[in-house]
Amino acid sequence: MKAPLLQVENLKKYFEVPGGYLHAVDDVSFSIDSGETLGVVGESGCGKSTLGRVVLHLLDSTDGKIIFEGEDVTRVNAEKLKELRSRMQIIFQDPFSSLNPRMTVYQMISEALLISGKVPRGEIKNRVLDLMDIVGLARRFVNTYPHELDGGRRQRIGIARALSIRPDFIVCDEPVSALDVSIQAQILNLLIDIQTDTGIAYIFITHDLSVVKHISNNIIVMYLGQVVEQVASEELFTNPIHPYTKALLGAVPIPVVNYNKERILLKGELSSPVNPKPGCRFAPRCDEAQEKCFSDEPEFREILPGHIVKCHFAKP
Amino acid sequence: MSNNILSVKNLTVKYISREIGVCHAVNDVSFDVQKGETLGLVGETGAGKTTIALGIMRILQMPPARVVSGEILLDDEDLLHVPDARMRSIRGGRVSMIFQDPMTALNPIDRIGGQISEMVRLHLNLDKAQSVAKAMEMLEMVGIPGARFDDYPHQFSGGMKQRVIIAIALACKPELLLADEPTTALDVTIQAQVLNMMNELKTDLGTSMVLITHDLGVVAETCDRVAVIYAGEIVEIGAADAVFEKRSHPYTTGLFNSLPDITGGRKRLIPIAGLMPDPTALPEGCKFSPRCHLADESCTQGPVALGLESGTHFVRCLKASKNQGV
Amino acid sequence: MPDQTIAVRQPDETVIVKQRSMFRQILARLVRNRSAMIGFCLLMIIVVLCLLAPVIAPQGFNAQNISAKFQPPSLKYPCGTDNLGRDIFVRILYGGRISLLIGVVSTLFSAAIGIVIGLFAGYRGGSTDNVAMRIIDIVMSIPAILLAITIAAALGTGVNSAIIAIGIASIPIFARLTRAPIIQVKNEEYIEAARAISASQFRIMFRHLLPNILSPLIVQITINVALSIMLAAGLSFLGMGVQPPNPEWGAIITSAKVYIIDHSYMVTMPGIAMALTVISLNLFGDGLRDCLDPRLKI
Repeated sequence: MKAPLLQVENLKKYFEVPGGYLHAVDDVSFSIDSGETLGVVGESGCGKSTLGRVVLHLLDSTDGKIIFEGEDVTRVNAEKLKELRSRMQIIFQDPFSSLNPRMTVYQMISEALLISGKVPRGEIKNRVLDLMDIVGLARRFVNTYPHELDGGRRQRIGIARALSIRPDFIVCDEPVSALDVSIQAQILNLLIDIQTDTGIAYIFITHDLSVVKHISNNIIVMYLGQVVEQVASEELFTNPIHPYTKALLGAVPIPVVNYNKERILLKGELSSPVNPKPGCRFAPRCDEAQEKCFSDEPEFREILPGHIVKCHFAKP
Repeated sequence: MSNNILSVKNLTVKYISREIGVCHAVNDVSFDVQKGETLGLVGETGAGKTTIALGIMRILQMPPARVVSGEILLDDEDLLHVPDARMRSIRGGRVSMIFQDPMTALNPIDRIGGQISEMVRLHLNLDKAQSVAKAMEMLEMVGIPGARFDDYPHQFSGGMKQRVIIAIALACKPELLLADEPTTALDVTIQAQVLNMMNELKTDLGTSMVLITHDLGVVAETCDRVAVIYAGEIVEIGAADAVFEKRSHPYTTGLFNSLPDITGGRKRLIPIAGLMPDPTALPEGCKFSPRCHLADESCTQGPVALGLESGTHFVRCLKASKNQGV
Repeated sequence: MPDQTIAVRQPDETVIVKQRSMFRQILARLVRNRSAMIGFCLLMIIVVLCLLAPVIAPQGFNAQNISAKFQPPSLKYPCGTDNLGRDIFVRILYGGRISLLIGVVSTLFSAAIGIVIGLFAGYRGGSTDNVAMRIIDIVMSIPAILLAITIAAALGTGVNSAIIAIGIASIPIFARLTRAPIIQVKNEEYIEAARAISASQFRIMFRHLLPNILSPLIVQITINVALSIMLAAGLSFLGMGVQPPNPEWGAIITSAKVYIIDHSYMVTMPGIAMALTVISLNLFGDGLRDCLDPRLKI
C-alpha cells in the first residue's frame, strides 16, 4: 500500500508556563493522503491551531513524529527544512493581521516565489497573475495594499500566497471564520475547486461544524489538546459516539425553525490545560462520567471500523 | 391600545464625513416589537444592524452619524426627542443593550459585583446594602455563584463574562433588551448555554428583545419574528417560520444557499455573486439588483416598496413571486 | 520619486506592476499640516542661509576688524560684532554648518546602530534580547551629556569625536524605540506567513518588520537632530567639543561668555539661532507624527 502523504504520530507540544506545563497538543496521531481533507474541530483553547503550526514546524514539537513523504520533519537540518517548507503552506484566519500592511498584492504573492528560487525571475510576474486568476482576484488589484480591499479579497490573497509555490498540503487555520456567509461560501468553493484541480491536501482547522462537515473527508475532534474522536466525516455526523462530540453537535444552532434535535447542554467550562489531572479530560463536564473516568485515562479504541474514540464507555 | 413596546418608523441614519462623503447606513427602516416578543435583525457585516440598535439607544457618535428622519417610539414616547436626562434614565432602565465583545465591555479594574451593584444603585435608587443584595441575586440568576461577587473580570472566561454582562443588562428589569451579536464571540457549547439562559430569562421576566446577529441558526432558535437587512434596508420581515420556509427575497434565499448544511448531504454551495454595495454609492432602485439573478430593468427603475407576501410577511422585491428558492 | 514600472504583456490586457509608494500620500498630508509646514519653512531658511554662508560672506568667519569691535546689532551687523570685531551673524552662519552637520550625522549614526540593535533584540528575543537590552540600560543610566563628555574626553576634541560621542549617547533611544513595537508586530500572522515561506531572518527583519514600525522612528530622527545640536553646543561650551575659533554655536557662546554682562547680544544671538533651529525641528517632527499616525488612513 502507498504510504500516506503526511503521517503524524503521537505528536506532543507542551509550553512551559509559570507553575508547570501547558499541554497544548497531547498525543495526537493522524495521516492524510494527497487530495484529502482532514478536518480538525474543537473549541477555542483545544490546541487545534497549535497543532497546525507544529505540523508546519513553525513551532517545535515536544515529542512525536511528523513524517512527510517518508521523512521525519522533526529531525531534518535547516536546508532540508527549507525545502520541505516550500511544500507545505498555511492560510490564516484573520484576513487583516495575516497580510503585511506595507506590501502590495503583487509583493505578497511573489515573495515566496522569489525566496524559493524555483521560478525564473522573468516568469514571476506571469505566475503571480495566473495565481490571481486562479483565486478569482481581478488583475487590476495587483498594486493595491491590503487595507484597500475587503475581507473576502484579502483572504484570496492569503490563498494565492499559499498556493504560489505549489505546496503538497496546506494548513487552513479557520480560513472562513472571519468572513460573512456569502463570502464564506465563495472561499469554501474556491478551496474545494483548487483541491479538485491540483490534488492538494488540506488540514482544515475550524470551530464551525457545518463548515468542517462540508469540506472534510476525515475529522478529528479535539478537547483540551487531545483527540477524543476520529472518524470519516459522514459517520461523525450520523453516529457521534464520544459524549463531547454529541454535545458539540447538539449545540450547533440549525437554521430551521422548530427543528427538533437532541440537545445536551454541557455544564461548566473548559478546565485548564496546565498540568491536567489524571483521567479523562472531559470527565468534569460529562454527564456519563463515572469514578473510573476521573482516575484512568481512556485508551484510543476502534469502536467501529475506522471509528476511533477515546472514552471508557464508548459503544457502537 | 397597541401591543407594541417599540415602534421604529422610517428611521434613516447617515454617516457624513469629509473624507468618505455621505454613507447611507440605515435607509427608511420601520419595524415594531411587540411585548414579550423577540425580533431578530439578520444581515451581513455593514448592513446597518448595529447602527439601528445604537440609534435606538441614542448612543451613535454624532458626528459623523446623523439621524436624518424617523421616529423611535417606546410606548408612544419618541426617543429621538426626549431630553438627555430622561434618555439617561431610560437607557439601562427601560431599555438595555448587550454588546458583542464580552472581553472589553467590563471595566478590568473593578470587581464584578461592584459593577453590577453600581448600575442597580444608579437606576433603582437603592441603598448600598440593597444594591449588593440585588447584584448578588442577578449573578445567581445568570448561573454564576455568588461567591464570585468580588472577582475581577480577568478571572472569568468569555462565557462567564457574557453572563455578567447579561446580568447587568437585566438588573433593572428592562422592558426591552437590545442584544448585538451576544454569542458571536463564544464557543458553540457556551453559546448554547447562554442562548438557553437568555430564552429562559426572557420568558420569566417577560422582556422583549431585539437580537442582532448574522447567524441564521441563532435566529431560528430564539426569534419569533425576523427582519432581514441588506444595505441599510429591511428586505424581508415576518414571522420567523414564514421567512425561513419561504425565503421570498432573493437575498434571503442567497444567505441560506451559502450555508453549508449540517443536517443533510454535501452539495456545492451557491454563494451570492458579487459584493455588498458601497454605502456611499448605493445602486438605483432595488439595492440588491446588481447581485440578483432575477433582476431586470424594472428593478432599477425606482425605489421598491415592501410588499405583502402573506399575513404579516412582507418582502421588498418585484420578483418575489418568481423566486423559487433556488 | 519616480515609480518603478514594469509592463507585463498579456493576451487580453496589459497589467502594470509598479511600486506604489505611500510616500506621496504622506507628503500630501504633510503639506496640509500647519505646524509641520511652519517648522519645515523655518528649517529650510536656516539650512539655506547656512549653506550659502560662503556666498553671503566670502570674507570667512574669521575676518577681523578691530576698529569695529563690540558693535551692538545694527543694519550693518545684524547680530553685532565680537571682541575681535568679527561679524557674529557671519559666524552664526558658518557655525550653523558645523552644528547641523553634527546634528544630522550623529543622529544617522545612532539611528543606524540603535535600530539594528533593537531589531535583533526584539525579533530574536531570549538571551540576545537580554544581553543587548542590559547593555542599553547601562548606557541609558548615564546622563547623555556625561556620557558624551566621557567619550569626547577619550577621543579628543574636534567635530569627528563630537559626532561619535553624541551619536553613542543617543543609541539607546533608538534601540528601545525599535524593540518595543517589534515585540508586538513579530507576533502578527503575516510574520508567521513569512516564516512559512522560508523567508530568512534578515528578510523578515528588514522587509517585514522594519517598514511597519518606521513611523515613530522617523519622528524620533527629526527630534533627535535637535537634541544632538543642543548636546553638541553643550559639549563645546564645556570645552570638550568643537574648539574656538571654529564657530560652532556652542563654541561661539563659550568664547562670548565673559562679555555676557556688558555685551549680552554676543551670547543671545547664537542662542536664538539655536533655539529657532530646535523649535523648527520639533514643530516639523510633531507634524510628521500626526501625518504618519497609522490610525489615519494612508
